[in-house]
Amino acid sequence: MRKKSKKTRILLSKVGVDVHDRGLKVIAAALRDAGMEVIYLGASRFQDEIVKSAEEEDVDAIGISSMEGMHHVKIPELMKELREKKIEVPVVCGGIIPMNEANDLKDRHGVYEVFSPGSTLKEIVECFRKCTCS
Amino acid sequence: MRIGIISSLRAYDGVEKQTLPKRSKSTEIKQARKKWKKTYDKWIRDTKIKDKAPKTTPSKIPLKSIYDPTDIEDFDYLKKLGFPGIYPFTRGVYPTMYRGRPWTVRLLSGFGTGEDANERFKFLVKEGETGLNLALDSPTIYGFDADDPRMRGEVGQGGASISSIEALERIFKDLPIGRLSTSVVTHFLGLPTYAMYIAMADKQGIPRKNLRGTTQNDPLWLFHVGNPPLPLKPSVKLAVDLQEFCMKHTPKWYGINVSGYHIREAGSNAIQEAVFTLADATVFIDETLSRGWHIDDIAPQISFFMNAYNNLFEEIAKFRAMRRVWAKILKERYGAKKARSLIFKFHTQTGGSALTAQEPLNNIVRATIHSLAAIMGGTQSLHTDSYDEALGLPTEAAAKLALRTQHIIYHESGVPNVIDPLGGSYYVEWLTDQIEEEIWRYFDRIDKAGGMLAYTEAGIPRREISQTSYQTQLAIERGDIPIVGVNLFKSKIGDFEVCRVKLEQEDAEIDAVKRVKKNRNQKAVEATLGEFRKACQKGVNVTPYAIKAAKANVTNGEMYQVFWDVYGEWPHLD
Repeated sequence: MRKKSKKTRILLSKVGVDVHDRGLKVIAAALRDAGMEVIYLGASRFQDEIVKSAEEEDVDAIGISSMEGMHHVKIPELMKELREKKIEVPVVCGGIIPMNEANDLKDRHGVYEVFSPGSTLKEIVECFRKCTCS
Repeated sequence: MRIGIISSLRAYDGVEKQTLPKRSKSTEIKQARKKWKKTYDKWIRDTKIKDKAPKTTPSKIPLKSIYDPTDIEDFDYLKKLGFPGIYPFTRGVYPTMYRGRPWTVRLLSGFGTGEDANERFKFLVKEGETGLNLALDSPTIYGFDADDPRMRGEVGQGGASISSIEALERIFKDLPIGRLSTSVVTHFLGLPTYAMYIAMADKQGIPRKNLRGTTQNDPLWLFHVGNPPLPLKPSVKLAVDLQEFCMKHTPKWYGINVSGYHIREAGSNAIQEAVFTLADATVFIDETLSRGWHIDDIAPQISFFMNAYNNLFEEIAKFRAMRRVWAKILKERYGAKKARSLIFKFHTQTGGSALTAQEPLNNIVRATIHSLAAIMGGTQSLHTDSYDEALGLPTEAAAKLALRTQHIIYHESGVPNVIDPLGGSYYVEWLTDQIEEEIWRYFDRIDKAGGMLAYTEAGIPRREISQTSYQTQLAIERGDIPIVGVNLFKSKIGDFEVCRVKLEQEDAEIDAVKRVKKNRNQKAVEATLGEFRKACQKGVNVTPYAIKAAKANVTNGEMYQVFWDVYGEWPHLD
């Protein structure tokens, strides 16, 4: 379980066997540079691994990246399981997610924010700060 | 360097070789250059303009504003360039290059159901494609069958799903696999899909020795970027098993296609891409040599898969330098004798991560520049990305446009008419030399660390690539690396639809594999899978056992489960 630490802890992962984690790694580096602690699961991870890690590491927020177009299936399923496990931390998503589907993830599935291509690291770091009140 | 050619001809004639330009000429040039530089500086001063050009290439090689003969002063034409098809192959791997025949137009395809992939292949063949390039979906790459519930949403996305030989047969239905050359982009191990392909050809009565193609089968890049599903050493072992089988039974099939493409896509620069790719290849060579093969049997079977990115001249110089370095490694380090062993043959794909979601039509121009880099760099085959690939799978119209991009370059531009058209350019020769030096310097570091396998185990390439990738992103956000539509002439992303595979198409694949599992001869499955497991445990070459299993409808997922049982689970490197 979590040791007493002042640092904000962010879990970063892809969901599913999708390998494209270049963007996610860059975000991990930016969050670390901003003084946060990153638990980096990275590419090709299953939903149960993410949920288990979120529980064990007692994270303050979760960042999920999706590049292969399966976000409309994978992310709602993940949100559902997090809710069922009572892991109530903000989930921030990013990747190739069209606007209407991003809105759907936010409005219907409780995703905190969705970032599209062209978003800056500053905006993303700021969002994690805001949603973790750090 | 036209002067250089004269010098080389003299050398041929037995006249004492001279390195031109002569000293006196060189001094004259230097003086003229100084004079020009004064004018240049004065112009900048007087017009109060700023010299805004970047001071380095993207790989951080310092740049001057102009190059002249004195930048390549001791240039020995025959030693550095020679002629195409002749050591050190800087100008190209074959004597005729594109005058003999064009590069292979090879577009990556495959998504959705087997029938969808089949339809796209037939379309591309009809439109003039000469080689098939099959992409696999992520579940297949990582060893899961379509009916694994954890794969929901990923089956057939971004590639074809191949759970068993039945799926492969649907993809290649009515396609002349005895005549076409097929490249299978397996991303990790090629063994299960190769075994199914051989099994399919056997069933059709096509002699194995006639089969032409390439299996990517390079697991190493996934240890530098991404998340490999198996530990390092067994992955290398299994890759070489396939390579060894190819050398014996399918000599026209390249068993290992060493991939720098993904290394680059993950954010490396051109030099890192070049070094890690060449060094990875030595790992496979060393493993094959340790099995008692001769270098001249191994080397001709290795081909490469490279990226062509934005900086036109650095990319061209990269390809030229890689040819030279590879030839030297094979000749000097491994003592290869045959010319076929020394040549760096490569497929190129244009840089996917260079495409922008903003103003996607701009990507047509980017992909054209990348394609030119590959062609002027002497590629053997080429995939041009479709302009809409930053947003999803390419539409048919966009794929056709990518195909036509290559046709226009080949037939209309005149670019392929002269071999190595940039050979002799002061700048390109200087840059080729610089990149070569950087590659050797890096190789020294790798050698001192105990070779590429040890270097990989220590996670050094992985760390270095992600550092470069982060620095690149920071530079983009500072505006130091301009990208039109992103940080220059900024444009918002318009709303877009994701061209994706529908869940009903997934369902069709899931049903198909379920049907196969239900209807197959279970005794044959158990027997062949049992033999396959024993072969894995014994450490013998497992390829023949995989082919037998494939014929008995054993699935990709079942073969992978054996790998996990015998060799261990995902190492999770991050």
